[in-house]
This record gives sequence, C-alpha cells and structure tokens, in this order.
Amino acid sequence: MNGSRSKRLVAYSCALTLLCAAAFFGTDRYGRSQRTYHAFGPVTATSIDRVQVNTPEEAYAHWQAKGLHGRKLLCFVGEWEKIKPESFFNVPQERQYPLDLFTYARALEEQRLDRTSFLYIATVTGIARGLEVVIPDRIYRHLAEQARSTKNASFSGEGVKLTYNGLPRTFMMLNHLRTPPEPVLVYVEASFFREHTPEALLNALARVQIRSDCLVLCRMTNDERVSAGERARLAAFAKAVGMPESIGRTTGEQPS
Amino acid sequence: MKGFALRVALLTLAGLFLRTLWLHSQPVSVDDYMVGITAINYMESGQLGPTMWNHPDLRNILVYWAMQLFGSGLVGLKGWNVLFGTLSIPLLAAITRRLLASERVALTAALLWTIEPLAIDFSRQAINDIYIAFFPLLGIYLTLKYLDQYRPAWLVLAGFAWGCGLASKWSAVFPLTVTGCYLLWQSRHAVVDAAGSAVARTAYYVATLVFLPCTIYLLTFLPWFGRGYDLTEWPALQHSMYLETKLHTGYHETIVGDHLASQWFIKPVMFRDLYFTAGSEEHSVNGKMTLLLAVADPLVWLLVLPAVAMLVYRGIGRRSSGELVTAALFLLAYLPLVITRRPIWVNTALSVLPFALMAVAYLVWNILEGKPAGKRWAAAYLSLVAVTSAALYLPVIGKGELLPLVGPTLLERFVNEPHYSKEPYLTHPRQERPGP
Repeated sequence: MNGSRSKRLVAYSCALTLLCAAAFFGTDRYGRSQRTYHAFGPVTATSIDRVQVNTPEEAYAHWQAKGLHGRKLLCFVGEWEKIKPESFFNVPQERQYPLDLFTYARALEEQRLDRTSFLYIATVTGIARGLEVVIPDRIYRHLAEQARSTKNASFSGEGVKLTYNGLPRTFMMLNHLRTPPEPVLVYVEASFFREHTPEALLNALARVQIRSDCLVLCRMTNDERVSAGERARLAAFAKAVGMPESIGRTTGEQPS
Repeated sequence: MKGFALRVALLTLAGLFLRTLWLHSQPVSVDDYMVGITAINYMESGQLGPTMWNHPDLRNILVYWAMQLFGSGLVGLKGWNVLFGTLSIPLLAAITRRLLASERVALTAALLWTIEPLAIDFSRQAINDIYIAFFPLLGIYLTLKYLDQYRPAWLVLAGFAWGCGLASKWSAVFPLTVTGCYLLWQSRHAVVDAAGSAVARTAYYVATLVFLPCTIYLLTFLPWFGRGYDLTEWPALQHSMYLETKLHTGYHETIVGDHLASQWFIKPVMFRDLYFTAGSEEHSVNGKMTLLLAVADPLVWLLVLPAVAMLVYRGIGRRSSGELVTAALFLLAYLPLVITRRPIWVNTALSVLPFALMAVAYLVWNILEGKPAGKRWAAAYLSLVAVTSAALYLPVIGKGELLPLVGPTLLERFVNEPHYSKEPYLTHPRQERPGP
C-alpha cells in the first residue's frame, strides 16, 4: 500500500462492500419476515387450522381471514383452467388527467374472484408467493405437452415449472410430490378425487411429511362438473385426517 | 467555457420546450395508463406487471413516488421522463466535450439530441425508454468527473447512477462495461499520491461500479421481497425476466413496426404509437385517434456508421482513447441488439443514440473543420437537420395532421394498421384512492 490515499480507498472499499453485503442480507431477512405462519404440523394434527369450505371463493376468504401472507400454496385439484388475467380489466377509453387509476389487487379481489381465478388472485394479493399444483396424471401430461412450446417452462423430476409473469408455479403428478422446505398452505378440491383415492393422497402426504398450518378442503358445490362421488371421497379424506367440519385451533410450534 | 455553458443551457431550455410543448393535451396512451396501474401494483402488492413485467422496476418506484407527491396528473406520470429527457442534453454535451475534446463537437451532439425525434417522443411518454439514455450518460459523466480529480465521492455517485441504469433496463450493462474498462485504462498511470495504489483503486472500482450498482438493482426489488420471497428465490425471478426479455415479441399482440436493429442506420426507420381515446374522430369508430410518429432523421441516422468508422480510424491513428471509447460505447450498446434474434423495436435505440450522435457530430467537424468555408458547410448541414427535425416534430407530438401537404392524409394512412386494443371485458374499476 502506498500512502494514506491508498489506505483510505481500501477502507472505503471495505465499508462499501460491507454495506452492500448488509443490504443483501437485510433484503433476505426482510423477505422472510413478511411470511405469516401459524401453528403447523402434519395435516393429521388437530392443532393446525383445518377447514372444509363449499367453494374456492370461500377458501380464498378463509386465507384472507387468517391473515396469511407470502406463503407457498400446495394445491390438489382435478382441473386446471387457463385464465387470461391480461384481459381482466379493460383499459378505459376515457383517460384524462388526473388519471382514474386503481389498485389492481383490490380490484381483482372485489370484481374478478371466482373458482377459476382465486389462486391467481391469491398470488396477486400476496397470500401466496408460489404455487405447487398437483393434478391428475392425464391432465399433467396434456399440460406438459403444451408447456414444451412455451418460453417459460422447465422440466425436472418434480414436474414442470411454468412461471407466470415471474410467479413460480410448479405443476406435478402425485408421485412427483417432494418434501417442501417450509410449511405450506394445503388446498384440496373434491375434483382431485376424480382420479385419486383418499388413501393415495393421505399416503403421499405422509410419505413426504408435509407440514402445514392451514388445510382447506373444498367441496366445490358451485361446480357442476364435480360429482357426488368425488365429494364423498373428499369427505372420506377429511374423516381420514380426523378433521372437524369447522375451523380448527391454531396452536403449535412456529417455524424457525 | 462560459460561452459553452451558456449554449448548453440554451439547448437544454430548448429541449425542455420541445419535450413539454402541448404535452398536457397529448392524449394519454394505453402504455401511459398502464404505467400508472403497474406502479401502484408493484409498490402496493410487490407484484410485477400487469404490463412490462420483465423489465426492472425503477420506473415503478419513481412513478409511484411522483404520483404520491403530485397525483396521477401529467407531472406524476411523466415528470421523470421530461426531467431525464431534458437533463440528458447537458450530460451529453459534457461527456462529448470531455471524450472528444471539442466544444463544437459537444454542442453539435447536444443539438442533435435536443431535436432528435425519438428522444423527444420518449421524453413525453411514461414508459422508461428515456431512462436507458439518461442513467448511462449520468454514470459516464460521474465516472469522468472522478477521472478528472480522483475524488472517491464521484465514483460512489456513479455507482448509484449505474445501479439506476441497470434497474431501468439491463442494457445499461454494456456502457457500464466500456466505462469500467476505460476507467482502468485511464487510471493505469495515475499518480499514487493523488489516486491511490493500483490495488486500492481496483478494489474501490469493484466496490463502486460492481457491488454498488448490483445492490441498488437488488434494492429496487424490495417491494417484491415484501411478498415473502428470500434471496434464494430471486435468481429464478431474474431468469424468468431474462427468458421473457430474450424471446419477447409483444405482451398482448405482436408489436408492429420497424424491429430490426441491423437496419437502423442503413435505411430510414420509425417508431409509432397508434391509440384511441374517448371522443369522436372521422377516421375511426374507436374514438379519437392519436398517432405519435417518431421518424428517424435520415440526415443524421444514415451518417452514424461512417461516423463510427471514422472514430475508430482516427482513434487508432491518433492513439486517442476518447475517440476509441466513444466508438466502443456505441458498438457495445449496438451490436448486442443487432445480433439478438428476437425483434428489437426502434425505441430501444435510445440506449445507442447518444453515442451515435456523438459520432455524427465528430464526423461533421472532422470533415469540415479547417476546410475553406467549413463552418458554413457545417452550419448549412445543421440548419438542414433542424428544418427536417421541425417537420418531424409535429408527428412526434401527435399533431401530424397539422403538417402541410401530408398532414391531412397522415392519419388515414395509419388508421387500418394493427393497433393496441382489447375487447371490453369488464369496465375498469372505480376506486377511491388517497390523493397526493
């Protein structure tokens, strides 16, 4: 080192590097701190929040009511309906200053919430920061085939990762299911039992030791495509995990 | 020096005038409107989009702050663009003077930028293409200030500017690379007592021009992290953005218009926005039609490639780093766009144009200076460019119909072209939002 100038430069460099490292570390901590967890455990635990609802909209309302935010959402569904969020709202022709702008997330929640959009809206409003969607094998193969021609798909042993505007989404079959690194919100639709038995789902959840603080089972009473048999199998699944009809207690350990 | 500053100030004022004339009455485009919606969505929900989700998010942050302060009027939505578009004029003048060592060349480059149709167009729109001219120019200017005095603070400021550039569009990485190399090259023989040892300087350059911009870039994603994401999930987002940017062909419909960067300086090109707002118009049942038409001035654009060739030739011949770095700034900003396989629309040229205009200004004065009546020829050329730009100005600001001869039929020529429109799905929501 030559002289005080060099020493000062090195000191500035170190200080700046430390500041940058602190910003990276702080950003990471900030992100993690924004996740809302409640007491969690296996889906069979009576200590976690478990509820049956009639419609997907009610499931959404339940997540909202629980104040959930920044979570991974693991869904078991029998269908995957493609939606086009870009056409949810028309750009008004009347565009005068000051512009009549709106909050996109709130508008979606108030005006566009339905059985096809509720998962997307859960991501926009911040309930979920990522979706892991388990679908029947037949639908998965169809979706994977379509995904091969898209620019945002990647395939792995855990299914197909198909982002939407940067949102992480993974589609998979039941046998792709792996242990998530953190407690997840679990959502099971009656339609999932069109091609799966309650035992198969229960075994899969036990095999990968899913930890959750919120299990929502949806009867899908507003979907004519769902049969009474599928709802009966959902009820059987509920019984198998020892679920009451109403919302469960929220006690138990907190994630580290 | 004083004369130079005064002339630059006058050019800046002229630039401000051209960038704001009748701006309040320029109908709000779909892009302008969606910039406001996207800024709110990003800052209040941390969600990217709904429009242009694959670009970094500095624009969302700045527009949101401006709207918090000034409301969703003209200043809130487009204030930054007018400011950046205007301030890039003195920055270009200062950089050109420093690198090409000529006040005439600097003033000429600044003049060309002041009246450049594309620069005017995107200083008057809310989308962030003008940012990719302004922040790199600011970063280069501050780096050059550091090289003049070796005061460390300049490089910290430069790091902030480069970070903002990267957080506007990734294309800022190209001029940053050239500037970093120039910095290393220029400071290789710096006096240790004034600038510090080579090791200390290099460490400082890495901290200010690599770590700091990366950190600024990261921090612009704070609203996204507020959705619960951690650092391990961030690279996947960047990868998604990269894939969309790499393969982008339009968000809803494939964008029309000139889209081959390789043709920019070989044939006349243009960028046009066609949109409709409420009101009646004889040309369309969709409402009042607005056409913003930025036609590249062929008197300037067609000189760019010869001008860069001259910069390289003279730079090598004279062993002049100023000429060579100017050429490198142009080439490294431009060539990646040329070899990119997806369509590149002319608005992206704003990341290249400042350096292209520096080259053209250099060409003009290197050919004419010292020649008999050289100044007159230069004046004649610049007058011709100014007259052409005056004719091109009205279409840029959406008043093309006022042009004599072509004006009355201009809109009719474009009315049947594809344009951005969507079938009404639901009327847009009415919400009470807090005022400024």
